[in-house]
Amino acid sequence: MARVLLLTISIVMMSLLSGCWNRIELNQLGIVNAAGVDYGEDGWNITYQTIVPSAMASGTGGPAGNTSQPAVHVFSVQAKTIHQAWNLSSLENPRRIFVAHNKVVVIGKEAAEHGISELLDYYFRNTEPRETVLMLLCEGQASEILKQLNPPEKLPGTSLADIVDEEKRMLAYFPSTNVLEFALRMNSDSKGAWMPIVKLAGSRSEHRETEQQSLEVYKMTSPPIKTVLSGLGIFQSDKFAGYFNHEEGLGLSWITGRIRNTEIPFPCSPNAKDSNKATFLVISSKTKAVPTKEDDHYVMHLKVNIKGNLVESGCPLDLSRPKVIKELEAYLTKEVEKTIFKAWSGIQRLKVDAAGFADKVHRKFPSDWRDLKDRWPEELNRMKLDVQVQAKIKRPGLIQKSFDQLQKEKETK
Amino acid sequence: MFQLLRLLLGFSRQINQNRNRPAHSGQTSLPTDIQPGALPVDLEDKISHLQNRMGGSSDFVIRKISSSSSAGPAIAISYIEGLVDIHRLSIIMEALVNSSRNELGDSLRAEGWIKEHLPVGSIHMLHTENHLLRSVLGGNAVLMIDGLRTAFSANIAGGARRSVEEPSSQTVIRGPKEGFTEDIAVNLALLRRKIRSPDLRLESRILGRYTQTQVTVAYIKGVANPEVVQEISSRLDSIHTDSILESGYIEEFIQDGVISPFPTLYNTERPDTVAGGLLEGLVAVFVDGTPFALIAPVTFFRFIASSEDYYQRYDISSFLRLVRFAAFFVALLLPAVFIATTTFQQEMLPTTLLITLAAQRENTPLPALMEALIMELTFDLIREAGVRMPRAVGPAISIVGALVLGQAAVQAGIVSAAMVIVVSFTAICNFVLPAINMSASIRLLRFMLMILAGNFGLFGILAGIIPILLHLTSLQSFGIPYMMPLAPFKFANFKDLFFRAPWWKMKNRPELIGKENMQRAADEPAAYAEKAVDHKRDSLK
Repeated sequence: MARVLLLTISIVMMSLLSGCWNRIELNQLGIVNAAGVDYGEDGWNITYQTIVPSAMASGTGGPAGNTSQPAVHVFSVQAKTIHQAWNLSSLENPRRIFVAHNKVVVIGKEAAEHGISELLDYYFRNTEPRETVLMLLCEGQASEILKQLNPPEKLPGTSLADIVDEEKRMLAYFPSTNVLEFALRMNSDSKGAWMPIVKLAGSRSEHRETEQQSLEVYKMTSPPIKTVLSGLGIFQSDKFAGYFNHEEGLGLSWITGRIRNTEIPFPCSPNAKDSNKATFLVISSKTKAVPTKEDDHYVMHLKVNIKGNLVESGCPLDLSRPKVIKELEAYLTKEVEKTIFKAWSGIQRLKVDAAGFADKVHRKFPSDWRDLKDRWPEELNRMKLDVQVQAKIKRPGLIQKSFDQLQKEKETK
Repeated sequence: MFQLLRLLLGFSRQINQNRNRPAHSGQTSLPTDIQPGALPVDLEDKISHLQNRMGGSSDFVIRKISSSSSAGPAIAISYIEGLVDIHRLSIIMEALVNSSRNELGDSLRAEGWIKEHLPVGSIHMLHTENHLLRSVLGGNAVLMIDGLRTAFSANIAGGARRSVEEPSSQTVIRGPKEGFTEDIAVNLALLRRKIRSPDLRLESRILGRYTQTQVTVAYIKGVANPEVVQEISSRLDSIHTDSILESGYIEEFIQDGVISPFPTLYNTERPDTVAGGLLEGLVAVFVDGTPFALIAPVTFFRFIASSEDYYQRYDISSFLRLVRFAAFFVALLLPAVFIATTTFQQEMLPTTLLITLAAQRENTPLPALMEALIMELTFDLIREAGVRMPRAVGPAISIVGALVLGQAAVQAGIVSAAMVIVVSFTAICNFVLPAINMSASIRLLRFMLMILAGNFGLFGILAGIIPILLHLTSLQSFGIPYMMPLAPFKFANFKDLFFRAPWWKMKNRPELIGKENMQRAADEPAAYAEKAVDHKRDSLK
């Protein structure tokens, strides 16, 4: 019995005397909300926003949630490697940097041109950073983006991530990507990857930028500078290769089948000059890409199935007639095809297989791939795209004729 | 916590084996009886003998009665004041005074005379001083007659007793509101009223060298597992002790795993709970002097169930049972998980929650583990104070508890608001469990898990839960696995586990517990009646 007691006591003491192992209390954490990665001659420059919890929550205990200080503070660290940068930040930041709750990583143009495989290595090698972090590209320095506040949100990083998510859900112009997706795509056969581009829109001046970086911006109804998504950056492997505009981006979303909801404005007559337009809201879409081989080149057959509602119509058409609906569906089909071919031409322009066709070909013709592998960019250029869109208008809306037409009918009576 | 750690070391088995019969070794020389001795013939001798034996206790009364007609021997009646019913005593006295005692000369005729003349239910002949004393101390009046070597006891036990009231520890909304009292006779009667069957068997014995407490084993013959009845009886017989003041004494003597935080006997003050248990094939142990009866063998899940589960509609009681299971896990794990996630695995929390918690922690001085331990201890103190304090100061304690320790401590920044929420929610969940002894053991385990979580995070919690599970699955209650029907897996018993099936679906008693006569309901009355007859024939053999 005494022996048992002794053992018990020693085990309890062992656990208690270990000094709580690697315990870290919440008030010692510097929770990173967004990170920016820049590259220059001196190596990597990591910028990060740490959350100031007391400025966020209105709980008792700490000072009440007020706007006397911004919800984030931004630090920048220069270091030879990315991980070193995080550790070097202890020179100026009293808290332990905690990146597990990072929402978004913004990559500066120079870093993107240098290549971001080191960043990806950092994400995959360590346990704390998450691979679900959204990736964004910016035109200039990532640090500039991170210093901006984004009213009405208190946390600029979360706000950026929310913008990306919302855009992905509502528009899909600039398909979002997180670290995992980027790495998968980058290491696939096609080696083509992308990330949305974020930029500071508005007339920039030093005064305005300072304002934007302080709480002053919360006092304005319209901040002079806004952080907006403006394009899609295409990557060949881990290096930046070129831009896609929003039409090419949307086409890429169609090709890769990443559309959840999007709006398609389309003309409602064969005459392109006709200014009358209708809007179609996609509620479900499905894309199927099947490659075939023809003589000396490959053909990619894209089958796109779209279902949705008509949410706006400026057309002088009687929508109660099925024939008219069929007609509209045909115009709609043409519009989507046009968008897809825009993306296709973009792909051929940049010579980057962003659509991931290489993987499809590899899977379908595994034996051919050995030859194709080295000359894939040329092969991609020779590839033909065959697009078949099937659009279906499920509901024309609560009213059938447009107000324009009603007006005209009255006049003729 | 110590117990669990001991388990961790694998010592439990040995220790278990060593103590199963605690009182058997060494103590056999303890006499359970007062030394026997024959009664003297002379009345005066008897009286002085008894006075001597009782040490002249002031409540021990011996009254000599002179008859109206002087013929016949002298009579004395002895009793303990307060243990007998004064009204019935006076009736006896009256009868003795007014009747002629000519026939009281020899013992054989005397018995007949007494039975004839005394208006009392049960009368026994006593031959030894020993029996006489026990009878007197048991609340009987004893009649001593000059010239006889025997005495007679008349059962007129009475005196002040608490009446049957609503049980205070296990209240229900729907269901019988009567609870056991301190009087075992009343308790057994309450049980008899629930189960009016000759198969309900009650076996009594006297335990405790000084207290001479009546302990009664109750079971339904033909339903209860005879091996379990045998086992409980033999364990009770092996108890040699001075006193049995409450069923808790018995519980500790006869329970299976001594080094275990989990109770293996269920205690209740509700007759309907006991009746329900007996009808499932369990065995009950009643102890005189306490309203708490014990039921065995029990599994872990009985402590989650409430007797009301069987009275409410099955869908409602199934939901409530799930709620109780959830409460069990919350009560056991919530503070530990909170500590682990806020000090080690912060990535497990949603970002907004993390920020809110971090904001509350900004100015708190203590580490989360200490904060939680202090708050938990504080709550236990308030609780303990609430149980023990005089009723009149109740409001004072609740104000101090709620306002000073809760609100003021948070406002002063000594503890974080989240911690107060966690601790109070845990406390509420703890009280959801219907069995007090189970919630008490959860409290102990919670402290252990909190310390583990504070030292090792979620790994620590896992390192705590695994030995608990190992222990639970190896624990037995009178031969029944504690985690049945999960381990061993008995699908038939699932009807009354996480959900309660409607009564018309539960046609059989739970497996392993009820062994004989498994059927308890049938679709056709004929088949059922035949079964019952069969079983009756068996029991007659």
